[in-house]
Amino acid sequence: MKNNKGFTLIEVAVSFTLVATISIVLLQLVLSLKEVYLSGDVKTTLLNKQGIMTKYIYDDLNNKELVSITTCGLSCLTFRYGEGTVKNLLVDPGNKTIKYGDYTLQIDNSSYFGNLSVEYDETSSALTTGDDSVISINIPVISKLLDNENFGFNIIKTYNRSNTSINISSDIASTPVTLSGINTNISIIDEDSTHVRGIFVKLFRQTKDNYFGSDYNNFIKNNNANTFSTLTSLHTFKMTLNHESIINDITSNASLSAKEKREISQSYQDGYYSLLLNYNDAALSSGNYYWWYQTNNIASKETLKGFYVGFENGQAPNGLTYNKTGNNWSNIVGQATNIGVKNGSINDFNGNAANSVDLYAEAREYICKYSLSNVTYNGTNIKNLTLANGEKMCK
Amino acid sequence: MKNKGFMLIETLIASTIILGALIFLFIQFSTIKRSYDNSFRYNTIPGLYSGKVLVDFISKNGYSSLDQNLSSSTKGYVLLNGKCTLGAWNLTETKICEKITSKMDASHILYVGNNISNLQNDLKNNNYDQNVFNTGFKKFVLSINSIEINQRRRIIVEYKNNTYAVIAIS
Repeated sequence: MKNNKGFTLIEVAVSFTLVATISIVLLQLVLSLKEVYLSGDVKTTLLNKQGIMTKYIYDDLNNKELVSITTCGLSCLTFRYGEGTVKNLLVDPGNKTIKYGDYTLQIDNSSYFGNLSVEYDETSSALTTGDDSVISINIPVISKLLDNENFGFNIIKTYNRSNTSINISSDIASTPVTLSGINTNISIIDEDSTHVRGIFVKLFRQTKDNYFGSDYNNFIKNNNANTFSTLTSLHTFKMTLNHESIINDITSNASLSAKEKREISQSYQDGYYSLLLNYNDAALSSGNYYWWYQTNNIASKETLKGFYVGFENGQAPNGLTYNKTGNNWSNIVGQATNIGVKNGSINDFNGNAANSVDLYAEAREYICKYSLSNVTYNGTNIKNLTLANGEKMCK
Repeated sequence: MKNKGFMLIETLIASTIILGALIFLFIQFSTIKRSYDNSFRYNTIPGLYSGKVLVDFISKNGYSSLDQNLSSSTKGYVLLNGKCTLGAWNLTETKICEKITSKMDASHILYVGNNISNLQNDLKNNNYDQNVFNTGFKKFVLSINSIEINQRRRIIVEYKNNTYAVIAIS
């Protein structure tokens, strides 16, 4: 007689189905636990930072007599309190920090600042006692990891305007911009007395006697007010305005191959940089500059290649590119010009030795996004300016 | 013939026990996950501080009119956002109150008394204004202690980012 001691086919099938079901459920459980752990870690960190900074600011606003709020820069407000305390609230998108007094908060790499805003209302009838005005300061911190959830700060304060003064207006010429801890200024290219062609912020400067070291990080990450470089802040100047017209410029450019057009168009999908280069401290209004659009972030070592779509002075720079082995950290392809020289001379766009070179980034979107102060140009808030080409400064 | 394999009934019993254990685990895990999510949404620090601005305003400028409105309300709360005239403050104070409530970025702001058991009963019995209470807000109100131990009025805030806060008026 045949010995049937093994499993039957149905037993094996049922067992296998059971084991598979349990394995899948347990795997899902483990995966969801992992997700909770990761999101919880990021979320807890962001919430802790949000809570600490909120408490820090509100403790002062609630317990001290607020005398004034004034501007100390594009993204900077000064709070003065009755007993003599003075504290600055500074947002530095370049190194992703918010500083209030002596407390500095750094947001993580997966988060970014949203549009900053300060609104105050003093239109109600004045009161001799009690609060007759209200100010709100909104600093959104958006997390890309957590479905673009906002972990920012919304500070509201009521006050009596006979006891507290708010003056956050500042002329553009005297408004500092803090980038990665270094103060720089806003530069304007005028079209006429009421229109501007462009608004720029200086990112990098090199003089002929001041060479950077041979190390890439020394060039990119050098933060020093004397040997001025805030190239690591470049990412905050990424622009998206007029995206379509720039793509059209690329696709109608006869000098580019079909492959180049396709590659450039794709790289522009995520935004672009509008950069300007000038030599020997030439005034920007003289037209003595290059102004071009570039796709890639030269502060990112892996993607150092740019293409021009617009230019000045009848020449066509192809953008900055990182030259690892040469004497120049970056140069404009096809031209003799260069920046970030390791040794030797700095050449201007005619190939002549220059005393200095400055790299600027167009700050139009930067100013629209990161202004805490009411920055004015000839008395008009720059957010309300109309550019020379008829476009609104901020869309 | 000797059949030493599992019988169908044995297999079914075993799988029922295993599935029961898994369902139990799932329910427990869901409860923990819900509590965990709520800890991020209930009484957040920014929510409490933001609400405190309104609470301080109400404390300074008086809430007797709000109390009158509350006592005549059958709902057990006074809806504050955009309706600061219910506080019967002067024109400037009313405008400041409205500014605060708009800057708070809140969906709904309720002024309630020290005892909200009637409101909570209405919510449990589905006798409530669905324009004011969505599922999340309803759950939050039901999670609050019915009676404020120091007999203080409270405001309950639902923020637009789906966080909630309850703050007592001192």
